[in-house]
Amino acid sequence: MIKPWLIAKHLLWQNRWLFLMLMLWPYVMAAILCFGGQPDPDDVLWMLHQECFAGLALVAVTGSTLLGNEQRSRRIITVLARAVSRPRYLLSLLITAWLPLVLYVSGFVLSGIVMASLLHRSYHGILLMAVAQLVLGVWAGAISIFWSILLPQIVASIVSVGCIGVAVYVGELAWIGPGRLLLALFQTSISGKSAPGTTGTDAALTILAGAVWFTAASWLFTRRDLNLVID
Amino acid sequence: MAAALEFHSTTKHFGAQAALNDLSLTLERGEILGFLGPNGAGKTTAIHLALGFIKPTAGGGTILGKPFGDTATRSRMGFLPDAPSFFAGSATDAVKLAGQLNDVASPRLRERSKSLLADLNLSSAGKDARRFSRGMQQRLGMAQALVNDPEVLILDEPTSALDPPGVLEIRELLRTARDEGKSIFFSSHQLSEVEQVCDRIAFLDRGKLLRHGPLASFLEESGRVEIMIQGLSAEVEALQRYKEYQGETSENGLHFIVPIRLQRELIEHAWSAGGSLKSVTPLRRTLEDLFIAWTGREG
Repeated sequence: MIKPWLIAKHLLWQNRWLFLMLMLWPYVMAAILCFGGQPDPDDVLWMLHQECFAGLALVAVTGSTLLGNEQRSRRIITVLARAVSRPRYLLSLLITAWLPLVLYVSGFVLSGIVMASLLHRSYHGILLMAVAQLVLGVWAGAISIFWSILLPQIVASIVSVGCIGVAVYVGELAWIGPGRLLLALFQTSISGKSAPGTTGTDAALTILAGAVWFTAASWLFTRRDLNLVID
Repeated sequence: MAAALEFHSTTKHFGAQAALNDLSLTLERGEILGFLGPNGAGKTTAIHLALGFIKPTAGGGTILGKPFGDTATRSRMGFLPDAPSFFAGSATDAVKLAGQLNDVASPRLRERSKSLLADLNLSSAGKDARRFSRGMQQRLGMAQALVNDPEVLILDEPTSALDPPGVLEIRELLRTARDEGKSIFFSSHQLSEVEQVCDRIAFLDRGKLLRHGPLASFLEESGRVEIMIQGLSAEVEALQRYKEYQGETSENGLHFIVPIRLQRELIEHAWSAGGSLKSVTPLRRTLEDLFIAWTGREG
């Protein structure tokens, strides 16, 4: 775990300004809603759900662009010429894609609690949405890394976000796992009263689904050539 | 003891194009092997195969007895790419990261980074390695390659961006490394550099290994000799048959470069015509000559 963390640390530092800007997003949205007094509860809920999707999209887009960036800049050579296996390298990409979500979600929680207090509501739903986002972030990160091995960056981003959309649809069909957790994420109210009782199981299944995607990505990446420009 | 690096009939195709064709080559322990060839010869492809960045279409190879791409073996190797790139951070950060990824323990890593950066004149380099000059980046890449005290060093064009003092530093480092028993696979375009440091050379062109062997044997095998004759005019009949070998006439006399088989004959003809022999010098070929001869084109 130390080597993936070391690599992730350098990758995060490399993109620090972008991640810090994204982290500010929930605060900016909350400030806009609260400007001029008490916000409308429906607007707040809509914005929270929109931020949940944006958080997952952030992971999906980051995850699907990292590998391409590192190959194009040839920094991947600096890492893989050393005693680092390809699955460990992919794990470092997953950590790099997921950790900014932790910062983003912290902003989501703090700004959400402030808005819930302004509305005199319980903020349990916000906490539930935050945890669901973090769990789904692992899954979305693994999906995006899988596609980034096979597809160019932009296409991989679109396909990864598309996979999240498909999972929402599958969730509507009452399938278990990430689909239902996504549905819960987008249907939970500020107070958390409408949250389904299967969230714990769905979270565990989502992590499992993420592990399956990650294993498939590792298997594939270990067998493929790096995409390096050779003179 | 297993060879430092071995290619066994290694072939690599990119689509229909063969980048490397049936390469069989061995880097013995403790030697410096110069890996030469024009652009597009397949040198970098061979190196990327050895490091496991790409997979062979056929054949394979070993490093220190383990198959190409073995993760643990890479901690016993050092690699300098042709254009090293770095994460944001100082030269010390870059060398430390390379050491940590190669399992170098902390107190030793600190000490080794410091001494390498000093040896390569990078101790007072700026804060961001990404903004270093190309020459500094190449020296920093070298420090990264050496930080784990590797048994095998794979260097892709290690001196291409260096100024003359930088080249001398690297040359000295390579010689020291060889004296310490390290095996060095040295890919380069800079033929004079290869002549200075390599024990053997392997010459690749269009993905095929054209020649390989001890460097001295290639350079000594010129088969030509330079002869200076005094006291004769270029118009003397006895020398007319050597016209195609004649160089410029100077105040030192007539100048010929002839194949060794004609050496005796030319000297005898010159003597019988009344000339005197000023000098006979066997010509040593340069790698540039060999490069042109083997590829049939100018380097």
